[in-house]
Amino acid sequence: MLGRWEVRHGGCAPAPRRRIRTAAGSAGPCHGSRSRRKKRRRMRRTAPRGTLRKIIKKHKPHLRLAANTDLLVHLSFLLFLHRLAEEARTNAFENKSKVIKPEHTIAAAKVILKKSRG
Amino acid sequence: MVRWAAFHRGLLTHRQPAGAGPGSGGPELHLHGQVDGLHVLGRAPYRGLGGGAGALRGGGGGGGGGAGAAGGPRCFALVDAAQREDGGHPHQGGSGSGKENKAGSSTPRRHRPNAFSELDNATPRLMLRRIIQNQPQVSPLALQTVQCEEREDARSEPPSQRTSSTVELQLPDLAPDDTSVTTFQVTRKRKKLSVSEFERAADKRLPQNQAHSTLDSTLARSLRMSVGSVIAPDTVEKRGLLRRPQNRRAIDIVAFEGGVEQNMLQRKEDYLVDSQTTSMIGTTTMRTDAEVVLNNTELFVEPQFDERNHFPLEPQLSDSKTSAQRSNASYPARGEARQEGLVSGVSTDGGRTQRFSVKDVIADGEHVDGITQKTPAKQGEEEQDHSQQNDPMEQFSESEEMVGKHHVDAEYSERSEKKLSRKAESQLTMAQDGGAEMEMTPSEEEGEAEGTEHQDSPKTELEMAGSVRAGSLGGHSPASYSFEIPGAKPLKEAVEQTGETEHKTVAGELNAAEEESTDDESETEDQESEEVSMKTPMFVRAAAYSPRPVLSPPRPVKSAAPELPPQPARAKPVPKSSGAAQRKTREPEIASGLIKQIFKHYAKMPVTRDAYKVVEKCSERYFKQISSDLEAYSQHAGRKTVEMADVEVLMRRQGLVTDKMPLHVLVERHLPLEYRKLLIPIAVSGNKVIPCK
Repeated sequence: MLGRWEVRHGGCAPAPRRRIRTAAGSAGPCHGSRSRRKKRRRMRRTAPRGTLRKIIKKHKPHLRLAANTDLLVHLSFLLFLHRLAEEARTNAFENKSKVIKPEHTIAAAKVILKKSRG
Repeated sequence: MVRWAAFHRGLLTHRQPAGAGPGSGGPELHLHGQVDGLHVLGRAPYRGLGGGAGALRGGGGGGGGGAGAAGGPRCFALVDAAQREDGGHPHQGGSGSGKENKAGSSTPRRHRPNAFSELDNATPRLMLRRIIQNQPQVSPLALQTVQCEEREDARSEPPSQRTSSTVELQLPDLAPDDTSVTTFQVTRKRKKLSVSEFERAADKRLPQNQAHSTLDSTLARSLRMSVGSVIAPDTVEKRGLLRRPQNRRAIDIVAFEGGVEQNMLQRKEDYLVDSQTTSMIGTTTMRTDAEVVLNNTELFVEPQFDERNHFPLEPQLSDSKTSAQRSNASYPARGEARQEGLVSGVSTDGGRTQRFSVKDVIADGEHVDGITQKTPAKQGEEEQDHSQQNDPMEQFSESEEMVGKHHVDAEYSERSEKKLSRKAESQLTMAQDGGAEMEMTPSEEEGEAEGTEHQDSPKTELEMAGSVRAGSLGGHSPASYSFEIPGAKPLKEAVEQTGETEHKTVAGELNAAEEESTDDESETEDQESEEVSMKTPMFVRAAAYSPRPVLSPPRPVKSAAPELPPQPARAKPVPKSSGAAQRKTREPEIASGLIKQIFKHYAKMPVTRDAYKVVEKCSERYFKQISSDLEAYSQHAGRKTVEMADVEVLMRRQGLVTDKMPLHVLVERHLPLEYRKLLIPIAVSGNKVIPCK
């Protein structure tokens, strides 16, 4: 699997495409921009690497982090928020509400946190 | 050859369109049998004509046969004539000739048009003629007479209008009558008009067309009726010209804008009322505070200024004027008002007075008058006057509003008064302390901005006061004056309450700028105990902006300027309070703004602010979870360092990475390119892999 991806990324051609996609929004094509007419704001793309390290250090001071592991941690955090948002959105829809309310989020968090246990 | 010669003669003789329809039907049959080759296009429609009027048949039996092509292609006539001659129908030829005489003796004329008769068969007029011939039942008697008359008149018809059918003899009569014939030709198959309408129109036209011929009108009427789709020109014209009287009322801009603000205020009030009802628990304190303060600030922006200005002696006037300036300026032009207010805030009292005079010219006379009226009235009084002044104005709208909300308005008025009093205090201090002014003017501006948005259009002072409330605005402004007196009574309750708060505010009024800010906060805290908890003015204002999507566009513009100066001003009190060398040791937390941004992006739905708090807590809990998980994984691998494999295992266990969804795809999707380069090794030429593994 890794070899396949290696070959795929061998050329520069995919890079600009990916770049453009990123420019459009860090969300992938499946997540697409909102269909609203609102101007699509760019998502902040830089991960708070230092903050992440500090947080993990705060919880586990003896634990060390390898080179780019905080990026993967950031990725997992993004996906967690993504799941949480989807779940909260579903809850809001079920409640026939057009706004995500705290109760929706709390119910969603219960489910997703349980799912995100390693 | 002889036959052909006879044929030609027959052609000449039988060319007339007087041939009866039915008559043509018979010979046509013959024609079909014998002269298929001479079929012409227009033959088919003529069959119908052939089967038409029985009255015509009798007379036109021979003529029809002779004419053959009932108004149709002359070649039919030719064919018929040839047929007849061949078939030996001398009587037909005679009758046809007789008809021909009736129609007219302009044979040479007719000869030429025969060539074109084929084409004319398809014209709408001719088709209509045939239809009419087939449907004379509408007014059979009249038609009969008309037909008889028309036959006589048919002789004078131009040859182009000749048709073989007897009925068509009548049609030529109509030809010269452009009015009636044109209606035929203009067969716009529009919506079907009622017969009665036609009749009425036709009747109207009857006297008009009497000169032409009664025949024509009746025929036209019958035609119209039969056709059903031809619209009488008169009726058409009338329909086109007759339009519903448009009662256009000049839009009263003031009333309109007042109505707009009313709606907004109503919305806010509803929101506020709802929030208040639910805020008893205190869950939505923020929102209610924002709403309350929002309403308060807007309402009291103007009157408060007047009141507060009265307290200090000399500065009062200037302050009131400045406030009036601000209020006035805010009304006409937000941007200008804001800038001027800022400028006025910074300038000296003298400058303010000058500007005030200028503003008076600029601002609405009503505003100025209202304020000036208030100022002289209140100058000798204390906060109660101020509150009274505000309350009556508020009460105008309040009384105007739904009764149920009256008490709510009173509360609002109280809060707004307190808010305004604080603001007025800030104004005073600003006048005294230039530095503080910067801080307060923006806040005032914000408050004014909030209020101005409501009050921009409504120019009356009542609107100013009442604009905040969802009560009467422009439209009710004149009535609000009348309400002033009755409103004053219920206001006294609020007045007393507000007076108390006013006193508090007044007490803290003379403090330094920083103290004022703290006083404001303390006042808010006091108010919290009384009512719903209130936040700092800036926060409130910031929150106030959110429930106002309608006015959001101007708001950012407004808030942009005032927000800039407060930031440097606020920086001053913060370090002072915490100490010089104190460094804030914050717990490392993910930036709430980033969380909000990411969550908002993924949610694709509006999210309440409280929900973001929940999300923040969830993310804290999440980091705690994964840190323990990663520790466990690395420990399981006998390492003390978390590696990429550990995090991948974590994501696999979370269900994010599956066999179908490799990690690199996720990296590619959710992370920016810079990180992708770091995370995903790329093989380049020279047997190199970047980043090197």
